[in-house]
Amino acid sequence: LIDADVHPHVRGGLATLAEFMPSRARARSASDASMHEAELGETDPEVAIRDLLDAHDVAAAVLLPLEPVNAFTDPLTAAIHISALNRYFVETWLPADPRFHLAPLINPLDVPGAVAEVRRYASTPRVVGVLMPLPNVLMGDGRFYPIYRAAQAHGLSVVVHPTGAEGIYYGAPVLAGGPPSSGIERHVDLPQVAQASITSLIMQGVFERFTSLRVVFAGFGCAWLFPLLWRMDMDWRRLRREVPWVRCLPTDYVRDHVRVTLQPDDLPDVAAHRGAALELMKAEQTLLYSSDYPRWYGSDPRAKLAGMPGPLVDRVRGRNAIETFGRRLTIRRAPASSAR
Amino acid sequence: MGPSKIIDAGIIDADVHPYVRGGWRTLSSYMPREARSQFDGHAAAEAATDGERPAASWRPGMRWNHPNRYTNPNPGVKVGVLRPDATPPSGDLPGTDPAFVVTDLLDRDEVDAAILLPVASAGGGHVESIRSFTDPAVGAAYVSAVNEYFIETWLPVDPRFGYALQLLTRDPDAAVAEIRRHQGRRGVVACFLPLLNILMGERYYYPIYAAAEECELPIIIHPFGAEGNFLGGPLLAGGVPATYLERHIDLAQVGQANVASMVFQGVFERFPRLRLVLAEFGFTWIAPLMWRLDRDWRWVRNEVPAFLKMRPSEYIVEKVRLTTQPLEEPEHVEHLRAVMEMVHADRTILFSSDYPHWDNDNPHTVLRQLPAGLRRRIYRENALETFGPRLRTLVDRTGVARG
Repeated sequence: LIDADVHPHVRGGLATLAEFMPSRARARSASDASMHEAELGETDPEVAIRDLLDAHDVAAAVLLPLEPVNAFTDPLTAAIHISALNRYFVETWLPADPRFHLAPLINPLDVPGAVAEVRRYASTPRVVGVLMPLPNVLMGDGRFYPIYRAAQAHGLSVVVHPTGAEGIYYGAPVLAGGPPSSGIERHVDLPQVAQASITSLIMQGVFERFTSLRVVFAGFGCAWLFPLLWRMDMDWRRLRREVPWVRCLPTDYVRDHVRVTLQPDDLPDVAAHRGAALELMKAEQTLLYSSDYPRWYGSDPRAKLAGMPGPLVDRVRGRNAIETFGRRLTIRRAPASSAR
Repeated sequence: MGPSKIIDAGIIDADVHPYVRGGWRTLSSYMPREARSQFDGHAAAEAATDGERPAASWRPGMRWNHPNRYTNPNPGVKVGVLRPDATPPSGDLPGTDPAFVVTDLLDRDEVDAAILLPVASAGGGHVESIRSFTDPAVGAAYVSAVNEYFIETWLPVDPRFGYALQLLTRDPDAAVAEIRRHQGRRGVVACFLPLLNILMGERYYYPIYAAAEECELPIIIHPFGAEGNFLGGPLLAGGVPATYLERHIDLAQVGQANVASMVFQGVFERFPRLRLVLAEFGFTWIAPLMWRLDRDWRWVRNEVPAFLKMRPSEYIVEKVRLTTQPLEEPEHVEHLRAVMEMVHADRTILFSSDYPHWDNDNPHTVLRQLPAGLRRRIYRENALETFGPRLRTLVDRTGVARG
């Protein structure tokens, strides 16, 4: 089993993180530290090893260190936090277990900084991608191309995950139709960001320009993907003259370049509908297993795997992730694992 | 009347677009004198371009532009979204001649009732999209003139025409007054609400919902060009799309967000007889939306404590309707059948042609491969249930009149 979406946290919060910052930046961040005192179990890699890797027989887990830098108004603060967070997880989590992999955080609005961060960790073992919290700029925008170029050159996937700032803070992606009233509406609306980003990537020709780039949409769920494929294909057939650089069906680009993760699981309960939705979203290529650990969504994602047809289970639980992250993914069995 | 080719009864078309013959010059005659000067610029631009829409609409840099204007530069096409083959014998713009729509759509396709939805009907995109957002007085003059024009010049032409009153969303009091002014007219079957960047679950809209519910007029929403385009109109998620193609794909988000908002804010509990119709937003996305709404509601329903008395998806099946056009094209027919089951099409889906728009669906070629019972629901019965006695009157009278 390969888990494409696991969230590590900093033990000791900002007070710890400040130790990973340049000394001049510490005073400023230390003043915020009092807001972040809660000691969480998931801040300890040993807890994640026990509760996630060992308990669920996970052969590889991709750590996504989430920080809402897409709502940071000050790019310097963002750069300091990003640099400290990445150092922290590279130095404290990756050595803790060979099954841990990491997608270091970048700030896409600081393109030179993001490219430098990509290069900094490009040769670090078990770094499999970069985590790109989205600003309110669609992903097909040309200003991101240096980031895509660097990621592609080093065989790193670009991973996108909601940070919690979407639909709330200026600067982060807006949601359609107006600000949602409640958190539950906001959560329902989050896939819009993935839909718009996938549409933009394909129609702006990003995958024609970066032919081996992979983009993983983690934490958005997956069921929304098939209506998007249908709508993109339909509109492209009718309006393709507007985007002559898009040379094949949008669905084909998705199959080759775009991945989505299982959690938060939004597949239907009715088995026939679940099977049809998985088939229509091309889950055999596009879907990666994920737990979104340590978040709790009230369902065990492994139960969802159990309901999938055999060949598909094999793809979703590991093979798709191996193909996506490539040689950067090192698979090691947990010592106690059974031969499942 | 003879049986329709697609079902054994007349079909009901939930989305047909009428246009004002003569454009701004005509429309201004339906306005109070003091409001007319507001539209002089539009009329002058129209005259200068020999009946074409104001030249400013066609600046290539504007995403408002429809690419077919360039890809299919038929000299007969004066508005980019219109079908050249729907041009009436007079040579006027498609959709401006009700008598021709009777023969070209109603008679030919055996339509028992067609709901006229005035979207940018006087080349009014800019008014609907910009001025009515920023200047309610201008918007009020425009909306009232549009409604009077179509009620007076189209509804008497054929008893099968139904009409969706355009509302000035910017001014809920004016919208309520417009509903009350026209609700007694035969043929008025719904309200068309062009959206602001305020989600439909918000209290802003409740006076409009109260009036619409009392008058048994379903609320229709329909993309009208402002989405992701003009400030004040609904934003699209994640940034500004670069092309018309992307913007069109993204429009489904507006439907998704507003359905989620109405369900979770308890609008359908507060206004239990209210119906929402999403025209031209697509419909396949409603299936994953229902799954996600139900799942999230199960996880964190304490956020919307007293509002919901049943599962979110049940409100959608009971209260929300979606039209077929634009119909996506699955690889296999069985996929379409599977999706129709997922979306509860036997309750939720209404046939629409979108006549005379460029991408409209011919009712005799789409959806033909669905089972006969489901076709009958989609092509007729769902609409009769949604629009209730007001629509049934049109259909019944049609039967008597055409006996």
